[in-house]
Amino acid sequence: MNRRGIALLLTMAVLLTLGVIATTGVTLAIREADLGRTALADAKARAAAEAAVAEGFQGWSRGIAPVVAGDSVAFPVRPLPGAVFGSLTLHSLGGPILALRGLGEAVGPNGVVLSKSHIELLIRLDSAVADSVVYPRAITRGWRRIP
Amino acid sequence: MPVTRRGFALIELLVATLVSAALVVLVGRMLLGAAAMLRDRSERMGLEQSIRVSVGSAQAMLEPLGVDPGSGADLSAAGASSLVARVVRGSGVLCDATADRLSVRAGPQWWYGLRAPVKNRDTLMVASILGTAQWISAPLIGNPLTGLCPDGSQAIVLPTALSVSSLAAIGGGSPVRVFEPVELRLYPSTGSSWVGLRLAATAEAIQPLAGPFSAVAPGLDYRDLQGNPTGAGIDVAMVLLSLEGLSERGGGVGLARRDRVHSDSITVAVSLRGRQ
Repeated sequence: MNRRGIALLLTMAVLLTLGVIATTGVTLAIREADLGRTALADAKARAAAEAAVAEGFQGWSRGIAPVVAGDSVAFPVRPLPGAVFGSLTLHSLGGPILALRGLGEAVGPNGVVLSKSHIELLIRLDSAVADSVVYPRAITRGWRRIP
Repeated sequence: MPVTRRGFALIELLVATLVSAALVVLVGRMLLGAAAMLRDRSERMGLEQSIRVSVGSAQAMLEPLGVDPGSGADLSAAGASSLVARVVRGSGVLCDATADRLSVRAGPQWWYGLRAPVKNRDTLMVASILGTAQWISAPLIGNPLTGLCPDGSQAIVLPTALSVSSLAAIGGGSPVRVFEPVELRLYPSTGSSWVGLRLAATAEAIQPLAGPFSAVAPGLDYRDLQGNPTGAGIDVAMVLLSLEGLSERGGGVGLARRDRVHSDSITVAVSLRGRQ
């Protein structure tokens, strides 16, 4: 009896097609999960940077103010819950306007930085009250995201 | 005479054919269903990506906008389907200023630019370092040159023309912004709506950014500092962008084609953070 046929070929073709579809499905699922994780990390980093800048508005000691253009002072920032870190730096631009820069970082489980957000607010320090603390005052058009 | 048993009986062939046909139909439906589902997911991801790109671009464009008594509002036109705004193309810090040139500190910690400033296309804004918090608008009348700051560090020299009063208000340490007017528009195309950008100074055609979106979605809306609707650029403190994204094609292939178009909508409120 002639046992040659196309059953094996058909089976292989069907299995190959199913394999391609399954692989594509898994790839799409992984890609979608990655997009979600990235979006979440971006939001966390941005929130940390904003929180750091907002904390700066609680003021600081009058003696802390860089004067020479390019000098900077780093402020301690309270740790945030989760694998998110924020830091705040005051930069002198060489005049009465200074730059308050907040950096937020969202970190993955293996310590890799998943996302960074860097924002800047231009401020003046001429709103000091009569105590030992100075308070920043934001100037118009002074907000920007630093690439 | 003995009966020859070679070959199959008719009933065996019929049963085999029926079983094979059922298997082909089952496997075919499964394959087409899986393919349809994959394409459906792909279309949905494209739809979400269009919304994400549009919202991200609008936020990046609108958040830094501000207004001040010296140079007016960055948002110069606020319509239901389009807006025109001065968009930042570069920013830095002044180290020296004369009536015909501004020297901006060069280097990665000082100058951030999406591209080099272009004469007659970009506008300069310099923050006053006097008591009055305002920005001074100045034209860019020549392409940037290289030079030195008074302290010997590298500088980008921007040719301009400043009045005596403007020159008196600025100096070393003044923040500088390079602006370009850009139009963000929701425009109709082939029965749907797209988000596009246009460089107003070069009079170029609108360039598609993301889409398609529903043509009947509300579009752009504006609020002042009290949250009341407004259309005047100088009063706008928040821009609301409403979009209803559509998938470009229905999911499915072949017999399993599904022409159902997916949609997802979003309304995002963007605060003009440069406005204090």
